[in-house]
Amino acid sequence: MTRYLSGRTALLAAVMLLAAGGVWQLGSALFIPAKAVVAQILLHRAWDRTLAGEANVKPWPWADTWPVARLKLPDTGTDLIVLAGASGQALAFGPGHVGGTVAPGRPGLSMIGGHRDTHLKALARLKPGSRVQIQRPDGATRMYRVDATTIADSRHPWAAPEDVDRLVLVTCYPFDALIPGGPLRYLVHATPLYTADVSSVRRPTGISRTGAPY
Amino acid sequence: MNARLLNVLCTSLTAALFALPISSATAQTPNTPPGLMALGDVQRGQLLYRTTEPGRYVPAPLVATEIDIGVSGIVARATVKQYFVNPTKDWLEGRYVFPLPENAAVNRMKMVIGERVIEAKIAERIAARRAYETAKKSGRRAALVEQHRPNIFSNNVANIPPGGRIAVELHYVQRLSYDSGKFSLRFPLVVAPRFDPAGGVRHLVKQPVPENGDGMPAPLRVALPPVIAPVHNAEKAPPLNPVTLNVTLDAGMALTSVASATHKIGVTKTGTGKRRVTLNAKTVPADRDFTLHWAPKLTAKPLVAAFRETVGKDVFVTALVMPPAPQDTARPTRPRDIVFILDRSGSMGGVSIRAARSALDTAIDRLGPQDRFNLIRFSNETDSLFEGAMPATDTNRLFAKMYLRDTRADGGTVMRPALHAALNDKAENGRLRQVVFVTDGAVSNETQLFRDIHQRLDNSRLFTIGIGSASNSYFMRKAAEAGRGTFVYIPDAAQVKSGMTSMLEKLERPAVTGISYAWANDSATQSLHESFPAAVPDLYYGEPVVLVSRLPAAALDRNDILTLSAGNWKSDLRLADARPAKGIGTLWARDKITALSDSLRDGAPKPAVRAAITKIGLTHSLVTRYTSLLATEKTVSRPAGAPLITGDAPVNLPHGWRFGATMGSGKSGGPGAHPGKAMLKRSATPPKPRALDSAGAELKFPVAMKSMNLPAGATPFLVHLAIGLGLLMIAAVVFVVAVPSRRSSLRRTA
Repeated sequence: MTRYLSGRTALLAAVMLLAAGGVWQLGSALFIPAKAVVAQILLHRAWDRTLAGEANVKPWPWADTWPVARLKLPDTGTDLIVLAGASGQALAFGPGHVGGTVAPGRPGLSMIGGHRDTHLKALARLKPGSRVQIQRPDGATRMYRVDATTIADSRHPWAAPEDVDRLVLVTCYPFDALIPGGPLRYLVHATPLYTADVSSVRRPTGISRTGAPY
Repeated sequence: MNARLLNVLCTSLTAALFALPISSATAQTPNTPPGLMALGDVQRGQLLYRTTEPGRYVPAPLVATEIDIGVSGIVARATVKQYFVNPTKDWLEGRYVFPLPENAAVNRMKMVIGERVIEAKIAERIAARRAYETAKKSGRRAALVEQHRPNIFSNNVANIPPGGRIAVELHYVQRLSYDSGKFSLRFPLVVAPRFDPAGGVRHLVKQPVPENGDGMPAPLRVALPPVIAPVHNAEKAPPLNPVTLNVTLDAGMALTSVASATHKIGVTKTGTGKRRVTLNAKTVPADRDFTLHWAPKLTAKPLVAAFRETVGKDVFVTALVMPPAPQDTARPTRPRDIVFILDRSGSMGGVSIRAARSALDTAIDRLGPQDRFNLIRFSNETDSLFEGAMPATDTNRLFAKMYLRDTRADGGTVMRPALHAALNDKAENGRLRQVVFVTDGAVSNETQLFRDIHQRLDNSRLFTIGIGSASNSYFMRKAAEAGRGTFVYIPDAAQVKSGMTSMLEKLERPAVTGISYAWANDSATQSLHESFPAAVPDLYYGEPVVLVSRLPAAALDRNDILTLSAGNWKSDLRLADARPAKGIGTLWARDKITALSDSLRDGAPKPAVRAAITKIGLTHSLVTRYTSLLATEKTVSRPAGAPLITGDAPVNLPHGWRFGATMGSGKSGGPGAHPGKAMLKRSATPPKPRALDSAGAELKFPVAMKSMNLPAGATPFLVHLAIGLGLLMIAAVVFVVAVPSRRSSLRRTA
């Protein structure tokens, strides 16, 4: 009899434990978008201060990053503050400017990375012709036009000529994959609109060369 | 890791084809930008750039070249036909950077579209560029030939129709060189990427920054980036840009030999002194320079060759006169201090460094017991064998050879500290001071270096030895000219012996100095003339006097005389004895431009020089730094909506260059390049051999390529959500399953 009793208790305990685990996991899951949303609210405040002239404004006292640009996707109604650095921690709060590339909104190759399931979910809906707007800390804005969306494999190094004037938005791919950390990346290539000759496309990200005899 | 990068980035088309099954899965790009294509669209044998996206490629414009060179005496007139082929389904603009001989005078260009021939017109460079851009945008076909350095040109061709081709025919005139009993013709087929100490990178051509006040519109300024054509890695795929080459030789004198040191050729005799030269291989890749030598039959009479051309009110004449060899042919009794400078930068890798080592071995062997020597080598840094010149004892020679053997090619070409170190010591009383500079001249700060040599030379003499399949002979020639020495070109290890013998003879024998010349008529009145060079330089063993003059046409009727003299030697040449030939006026204009450019070094005002060069360029229809040839179509070909893709035709790396060693940027960048800080690492004893760079195919990215890791872009949101929901579901299921069992057990206890 005590055996049954202890069996029941164990079973109940297991159910409780499973339920608790489930709730914890759900909580963790919901914490992600919550953090993403709340962080952006704080970041927008920090951005206003940045525009007012402060440099490297920390959105909250213990933050190890600061806003570097404001990214708007008019087609999808997205309005995000871009952070310095594209480390895992920073990306939880907002899209990050990939170190080593030109500052967003400046001429040259600039890359912004972000999470496919939070901030940069909207990338899936961008099409060639879509507009991308970048506001720089000095207040100036630069409008880009998406000219292609592509998929790359991050297991292979990605290289681009440095002299192209281009904005690349990167996120993970496929968008609805369950497990994070897959090798594929979704790239949105955008070129600035002001270029005098819009019809003539620059050398498309001509990267490595492969040759065959002519 | 690096090897992997290499594989990933620089695969051949075949490799790309193999990769297709893997990459196609990931290549479901929603949209393909114009110009990009999938491998399924490729026809055979097509050149592609691989893009960032696996499975997506952009085709490159292809350039095939046909060269026909006609030699008449000491003048070569060449036709270079470049076919721009567009293998794509889009309208294409092609840009090809190509070399020509450093004294080539490009004076004509034609654009050939099917049956139609459009003759190019000469125009000021910026105006031509602007007209070209306008034509390009409006969809008219256009071709523009520009000069970037005295020996590097580029050809832009706009609006090549999909699948179509446009041919561009260039004409140039060139004077041939004669040395040690042989005439030589050199046609460069490949541009070596130049090292720019300022940026620490290699590039082909840097567009000049438009000077202030030239009114260049802003969009044009940005349209002139440095030309960094993709450099093709021949280790991974066959070389590109096929070339056919024919030479029709009319030497004007009986010949003993006709040979090429670089290519296998077929020679057909078509008469006395006449030959037809063809390449044995129908086409060759444009990866090494073509050379051809011919030796006239020696006669009792000293060699004299002269050609003239009457253009309007002027008569132009060029003359080549061989002065008698100095009587004193014994080795000089004057002891010498020789400083050898060895360029061991990455561009010297492979064949070149071996040839250079062997050339220096030969030179060190020939040093006499009374001579002293030192060896300086440089890449990003400079070091030297001894602290100063040391006697050429057996031990010191051995040290030198060990030092040479341990010299590997790597890094950038920071030449100034080495040059300064070599030129800083002054000649001691009674000793000849000679600097022998072994390099491929793959530098872009040429003008600065020439000025340095000019200013610091003092009593030293600088000799240059050009090494490698694509050495920059413009640099070699001008550096030696500034250094009052001479230069020799050694394309590969097989040519070391003959090249070095002729060079060492020049070093050992006294130079013929103090040659003067004058034009006069029969009544001994000096004639009006403008000649180049203004003063005959010191001539080393085996070298002739070469002159080009402009005289009033009346001089021909008067039959003026050119008199050359030095000491008790005198040589006369009658103007009427010069053979009529075409292109002599162009040669004169080319030499005048060179003289004008050189005058900048001596402080001539730049705007005046620029105006003078522009004027000559326009008058003689010559492509110069400030004038370009432009051909445009009148009618519009490209439909308004069709986009235009711009692509640089890829160029080969010079034969023998190693992709990894050269196309990376310098190891420690530019510091140390400061002239004041000629950081010499002195070593009294030969240094220990460095670890072999056998794994050396260390891939660095080609110029201006940026490599980065793509950031990760997903959160564990869904994972957490799934696990959470999963756990709750299991809990629920267990609970549901457990409830009846609990009831039953309760019942049982009751």
